[in-house]
Order: sequence, then structure tokens, then C-alpha cells
Amino acid sequence: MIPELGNFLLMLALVVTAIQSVMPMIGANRGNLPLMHLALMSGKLQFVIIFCSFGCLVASFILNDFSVLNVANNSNSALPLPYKIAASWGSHEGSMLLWLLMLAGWTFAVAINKKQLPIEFLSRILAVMGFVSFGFLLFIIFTSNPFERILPPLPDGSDLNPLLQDPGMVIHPPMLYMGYVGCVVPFAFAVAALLGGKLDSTWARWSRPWTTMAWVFLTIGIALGSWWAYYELGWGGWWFWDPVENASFMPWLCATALMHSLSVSEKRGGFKAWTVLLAILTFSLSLLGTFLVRSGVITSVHAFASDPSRGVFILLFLTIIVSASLLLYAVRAPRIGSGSSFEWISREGALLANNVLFLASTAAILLGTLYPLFLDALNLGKISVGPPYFDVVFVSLTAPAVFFMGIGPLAHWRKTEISFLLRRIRGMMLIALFGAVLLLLITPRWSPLVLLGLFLALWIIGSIVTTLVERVANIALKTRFSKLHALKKIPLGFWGMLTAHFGVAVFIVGITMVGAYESEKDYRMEIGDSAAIGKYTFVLDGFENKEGPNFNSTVGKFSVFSNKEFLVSLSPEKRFYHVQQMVMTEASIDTGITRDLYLSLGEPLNDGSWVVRIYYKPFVVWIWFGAFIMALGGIMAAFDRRFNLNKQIS
Amino acid sequence: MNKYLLPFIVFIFLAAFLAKGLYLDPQTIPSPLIGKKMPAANLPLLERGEAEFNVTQLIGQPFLLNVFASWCAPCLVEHPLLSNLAAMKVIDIYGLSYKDNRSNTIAWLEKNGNPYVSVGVDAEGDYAIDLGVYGVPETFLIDSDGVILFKQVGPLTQEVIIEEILERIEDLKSE
Amino acid sequence: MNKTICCCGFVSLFLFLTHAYADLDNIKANKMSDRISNLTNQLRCLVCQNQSLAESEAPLAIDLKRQVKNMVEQGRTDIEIRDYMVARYGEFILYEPPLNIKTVLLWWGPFLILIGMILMIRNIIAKNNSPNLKNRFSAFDILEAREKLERNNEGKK
Repeated sequence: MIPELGNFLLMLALVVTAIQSVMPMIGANRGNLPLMHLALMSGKLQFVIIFCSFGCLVASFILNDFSVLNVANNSNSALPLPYKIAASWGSHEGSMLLWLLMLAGWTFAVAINKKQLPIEFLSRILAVMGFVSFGFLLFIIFTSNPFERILPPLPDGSDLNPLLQDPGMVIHPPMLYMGYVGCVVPFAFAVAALLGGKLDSTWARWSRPWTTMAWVFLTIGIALGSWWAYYELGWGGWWFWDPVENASFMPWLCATALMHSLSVSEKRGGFKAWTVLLAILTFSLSLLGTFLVRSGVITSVHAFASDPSRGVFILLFLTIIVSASLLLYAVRAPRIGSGSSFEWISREGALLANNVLFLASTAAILLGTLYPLFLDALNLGKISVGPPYFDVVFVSLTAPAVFFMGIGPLAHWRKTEISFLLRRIRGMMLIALFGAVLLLLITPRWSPLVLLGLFLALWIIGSIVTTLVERVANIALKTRFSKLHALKKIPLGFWGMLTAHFGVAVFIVGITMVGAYESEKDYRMEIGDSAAIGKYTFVLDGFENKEGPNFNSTVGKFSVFSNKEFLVSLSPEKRFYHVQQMVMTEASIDTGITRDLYLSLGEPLNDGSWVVRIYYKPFVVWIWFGAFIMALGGIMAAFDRRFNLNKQIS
Repeated sequence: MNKYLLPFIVFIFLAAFLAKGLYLDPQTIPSPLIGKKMPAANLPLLERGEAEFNVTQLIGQPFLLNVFASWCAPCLVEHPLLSNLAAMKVIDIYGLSYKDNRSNTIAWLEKNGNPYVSVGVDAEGDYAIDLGVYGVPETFLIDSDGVILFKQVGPLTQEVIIEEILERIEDLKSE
Repeated sequence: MNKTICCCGFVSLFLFLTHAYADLDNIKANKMSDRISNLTNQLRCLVCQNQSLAESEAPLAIDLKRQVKNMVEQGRTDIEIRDYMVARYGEFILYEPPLNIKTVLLWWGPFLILIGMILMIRNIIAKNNSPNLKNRFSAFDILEAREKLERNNEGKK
């Protein structure tokens, strides 16, 4: 019964979203209030319906209903409960429903904020979001129904892929999808504003916190994914430039550009046409990502089993949404005013430079991801585009962006005298250069990349400190408060910006150090053997067998010594999952602030010895720390009082 | 032209490529060896174990070289097709036993029939690397000058045999 | 005072990194194994196509890794080893596509796009700053002024 109920609810949601996408639009064009209010109602209603439908899917998994194809393929009665729940988004069908649920959730959040926005604008926004939901509902119902039955029901399921049986699976996809789908909100705002012909700074102010929140979720989602890959895959990498990673990274880059561009649109009324285009591109890239993962046009670890009809459907839907919005843009954008003028050297200039560089690096990733497909389609042979390409092109485009990031907050709006700006950045430039060179002097091996990375990190920190000091001095001067009191007067949004930029500095230290100084060794070890890497010695004490709920594993017991002193014991595992007959490597990691020691078991050899892989990863946690600090900054910025219009009105 | 139309035009190009991409297979890799001479090797013969499977000596007439192994399940799938082809006597088929135990190969051929004129043994897979083999079974069509005309990755199918192999053999004979 | 805070910050960061560097010192580079891992990281496994040879445990990947190792030990150059692989498996095996007529757009495309966008911005800035517009108030400035006025009026009420 439960699957049928879920299925019925999907049909119901289809009707509701159809109403939501058509009626309010008519209402907004004719000034018909009841029709516009329909948007609010259907926006909330569809969330409730889809939420219940998703609940039906989760219930089918929890209740081990193996007459449902999706459950039979992705679950098993022995699977632990948290993974049963996570398995509901472990397949293509289930994850599409999660996608839809997130979309409905964002729609709901927009709909209950009704006091903030004029009803005409709001109803257009909800209509656009309703149309997207409608398309995905059609897709789910006709090509990827998660409630499909099989007859006769199977006695037991074929289990969730062991790679996915990890806490990461419980939290990473929902976060990532929140971010992915959240890109629909700035898109809907932009399209609604284009339709209504009203693109002013209030539009930008409304759009900002939503964009920032979507960006926060995307940041956390990507960082979690990277961390999960690091500890789960067993070879210590944290970013592979895999097409699917790229698919999530492109909207992130574009959303980052969008956030910065929005700040100019709000504060100076500038870049409006550009901002609208970025909002459209961000969501288009998020849809493109969905297409790449689910159509099979590209080879990837993450790709779902593909079926051509699905690819055709998503491509069709993608083409409708993207070309309609880009055509609308082409028609309406020429009428958008250009805003106030500015010169090259100004805060606008720095933000624009940053925007352009981010967009160019997005283009680089898109090109790298799709180039093999282009050549193949033109019958020019097959090539691979991998990390060496992305590393070179991406770093050479983003390093200048990071440099401008240090200047932006220090420059004035509209126009800054070069001599004035130079005076402000001279000090931090010197300190950053001096500090980076000093650090290099004590490194064992130096390389230009390390110099660049350390310089940029110190440069950002210098810029943060200078910006903060000046801001405090300014407030103190204007208000005659003491400096400490002035510090309290700084708005949360400003702190958020500084925090996020600090996160970037931390992140850069991480990637620089791990890129330059990581080391990896394979050893062949028997019980009692020891292996050394730097000052660390690893002794293999023995093996243990462990029974898990749906696997059994061989656990290697290692003692790690640092300069002959006992440091920690590590126990990497080799697991065998019964149902899927799959062997999985579980690495064991000693995490520290300045280094990770990473141990994973390779293959057992015939003579009873094992291949053991030992990695030394300096500063690797700084990568994810940095990302989380960035996300924290985003949260602070999104909750700045300025954006809370309810409070302002009261 | 309206510069604001540019993003739309770029997108349409992109969409066209993506649509084409739906009908391409990203996984099969064309061999750079097509149109090139067979790499030379002198391998042990399956039955006797002496170095008598000399690839250069096979050249002179068109032939098929089938890379297979007894541990490879898809090889079993294509095996009846190979036997049929051998029975047609239009072309000689040679086998290359890939990273396999000699007695296993012999037993496998006894059980499933032996369509090969003779079988070379590539126990370490070194010659297969020279041939650019990346997934057994693979089948090569070689002309009378020793040039590789065609390569099939994965099991042969009836269509491949008719459209790719037999047609090419016809062409070779009519020349 | 500000300068003191800055200095303290940098000195403590510096000391912290110095401490961390002490670990690095001990890990020496091994030329030969570094070359092998560098090469195998840049070659794509043909069986599990999402992994490099270094990451993959597929039988063919193991064979190819052995080949790379042998060739490095025989003193062949990186270019020779890459050519050896390309001759057998095609350019598909290289994670770093070589720059040639086919890939020129791949390598230079992003930078061309960058230049295009910079040229566009130059036009916009030039147009904005053209003499007849230079002294006008933008629509935004007017809007801002009006908002301020309204807010003041509300305050008076």
C-alpha cells in the first residue's frame, strides 16, 4: 500500500505544481490577486505532498518491502538502519526524489517568507520554481519511478553498494542537493525580475541571502564529498577532477561569482545585466550537472546506471529551461540600466576582475569536462582530460582572482587613486612576501608553487587584518566611540565576508602543503615488520577478524611511533561484504592539525604478507577546515540584519 | 547583432553536442594500431610449449587473431560464433591465450571446441600490451600484408561478424 | 597597537608553521620511485576508466605499472615511456592531453574567453565614462537619494 500511496502523492504533486506554474503567472500579468495567492498555497502544499511521498519511500526501505524494485536493488534486511534510510537516495530513482524534495523545500521556504516580497514578484518566483518541479516530477513519474513494483517480490534485497555504506552517505547527498537545488532560488528571482521588468537594488537585496544560503550548502556538500572520498576510497586523494565532481564545482564557482556580483548590484546598482546572467548560468550549470551524472555521456565513478530515455528527457527539459531563460535575457537585458559609472581601479573593478576570472575558470572546467565528448562527436578520436590539465589551467586562473580578493575590500567604490591604494596594500604585500620567503627558507624542498601558495594565504590574511583595522578606525572616527565599541558596531555581514576570506586562506595553505610535501609509500609487510616514513615508524602487530552486521573484515593492527615514542595505534580494514560479494578497503587515519598519517591495506600476498600503503599528508585537514570556515562566513553574511526585511518594517 | 544573444547561441551549440553525446559510447577506445603492421613476437605454442607461434610467419593470408582466456566469461559467450565462423572456412582464426594457465586453456578448448588453427600462449600478457589489448576478449582482423584492419573489443556478435569482418574479407578477396 | 597585533599574529603563525616543517624535513625524495608514481598518476587505467594506473588494482593496470617500472629502471625518459603507451593505447591513456591542433581550443580556450570578457568590460567602462555621461547622476544615485528622503520623512512623522 505504502508505495502506491507514494506514487499517488507524486501524481497529486504533478497537478499542484502544474497549477503553481501557470495560474500565478497569469495572475501576476493581469493583476489578479486570488490567482497570485494561489502561488503561496500551492507552493506550501506541494512541499507537504512531496515530503509525504518521500516518507513513503523511506518507509518502504525501513520496512524491507522487497516487492519494490528500488528497495530490492539497493537494500537488504541485514543493512543497518541509518544506511537503509540513506539507501533511499542511493539509487538514481531515489536520489531524484531527494532532489525534488529539496526543490520543494526551497519553494516552501520562499512561500512562507511572504511578508518580505511584493505578491506580484513572489508569485512569479513561485511559478518559475513550480515549473521546474513540474518538469522533474514528469521525469520521475515517467522514466525513474522509485515506487515501481516487481512480481513476485524477492525474498531479500541485493544490498546497498558497500562504497555507499558510510556515514558520509547519510549526510553528503542531502547537503549537496540542498546546494545544487538551492541555485534555483536566485534563478527564479532573476527570471521573475526579468519578466516583471523590475530589476532594482531591492531585487538584489532580496536575492542575496538566498544565494548565499544555497552557496553555503553547496560548499558544505562539496567539502563533505571530498572528505568522504579521502577516507573512503583508500588512496588518500581529496579531489580527482572527476566529471561529477566538476559538475558540482562549476555551479559553486558560478554561485561565488554571483554572490559578489549581487553585492555590487545591491550597493551600487551596477552589473545588473551581468548578475542576472550569472544567476541563470548558475542554475543552468546545476541542471547540466544533473544531466552529466545521469545520462551516461561521460565516464565517472559516481555516474548512475544510465538509460538513454532519461538522458533525452533531461536534455530536453534542460534545453527548454535554459534557452527560454537565455532568450528572455536577450530580450530584456538591453533595457536594464548600466548603473553608476566606475573606473578600473575601484572596488567594482576588483569585484569584476574576480568575477571574470571565476567565470573563465568555470569555462575551463566545462571545457575540460566536455572536450573529450566534443572531439568524439566530431570523429576526431578519443582523448582524456585529467588532473594535469585542470591543475595548470585552474590554478593560473584562480591565483590572480585570489590576489584581487585581497585588494577588493580595501578599494573605494567608484574610484580609487592608485597612490592611495598602493599605500594601503604596501605593508601587507611586504609582510606576505617576506613571510612566504622566510617559510620557504626552512622547507626541505621549495618550489615556485609553494611560494605562490604561501604568499597568497598570507596576502589574504594581511588584507583581512588591514580591512578590519580600517573599518574600526572609520567607525570610531564617525561615531566617536572607542575602538572596542566600534568593533561591536561592525555588521554581521562584514564579519561574514572576512570569515569566508579567511577560510580561503586556510584552504590555500592546505592545498599548497599537501600538494608539495605529501608522500606515499607501498610496503610489503609481515607480522612484526616495521616501516618508516620520515620520523614515523609503523609496526604491524597482527591481524584480527571482525564480524560486522553485513560484512566480515580483516583488521590490521598497527602501532605508530614518532621518534621511537608510541604515538597511536591504527587499524585499517579489508572488509568483505557478503551480499554484494565485494571487497572494500577501510583506511585508518591519525588526523592532526599539521599532518595526517593515513594507512590502508592493499592486497594480501601468497606468502602471508600484505601490501600496506602509508601516506603522509601534511596540512590536509586545512582543506576541509577552510571550506567549513568559508561556509560559516556565508551563514553569517546570510543572517545579517540588513536582509531581514520583516524586522526592518516592524 | 545583439550581444545579449551570445549566451543563448553558445548554449544551443553545447546542447547539440550533448544530444550527439547521448548516442556515443565514452568507454570504447579506438586502437592506434589500426592501419599499422602487427607487432612481431615469437610465442610458445599451446600444445607443445616451444617458441613456435611466430606472428610474422602467420602473415601472407588474411587472418583473425582472437585474444581469449579460460577465466573470461564473455569469451564463452562469443565462442560458438567463432566456431561457426571457423566452420565457414572463409578465414583462418588464430588464438592468443591471455594470462592463463596452460592446462586450463587446453581443458577449456576441449570442452567448448577448438576453432583455432593454432594457439599462442601469452602467459604474462606482454604481447597483449604490444597489441593494445585492454579487455578480453578482443579480436583483430589482419590482411595479407600483416596490417591490422579492424579490432573488436569485447565479445563478437553476429552483427559484428557480418558487417565488420565478413564484409572486409569480401573486399580483400575482390581486390 | 594595530601593528603590534599584526606582528604577533604573523610571528605566531610563523612559529607554528616552523614547528610543522620539522616533520617535513625527514621525508626525503626518492628520485626513481617519485618518477614512477608521477608517471603512473598521469596515465589513465583503461579498465577502470575513472582511475589512474597508480590508483587502479586491475590486472592490466598492474601489468602496465610493471612495464613503467621496468622502463624507468632501464633509464628510459618520461617522454619515451609516454610514447610507448600512446603507441599501444592511443592518446586516451594520457591524462594530460598534448597540445596540438585538436586540443588548441582546450588549452587556450579559457584564456581566450578571459581576454574576450576583459575587452567587453573595457567597452562598458569606456561607455560609462564617456564625457557626456560623466557628470550625470545614475538612475541608482537618484533612487538612493529618494529612498533617503523618504526615510527622513517617515522619521519626521
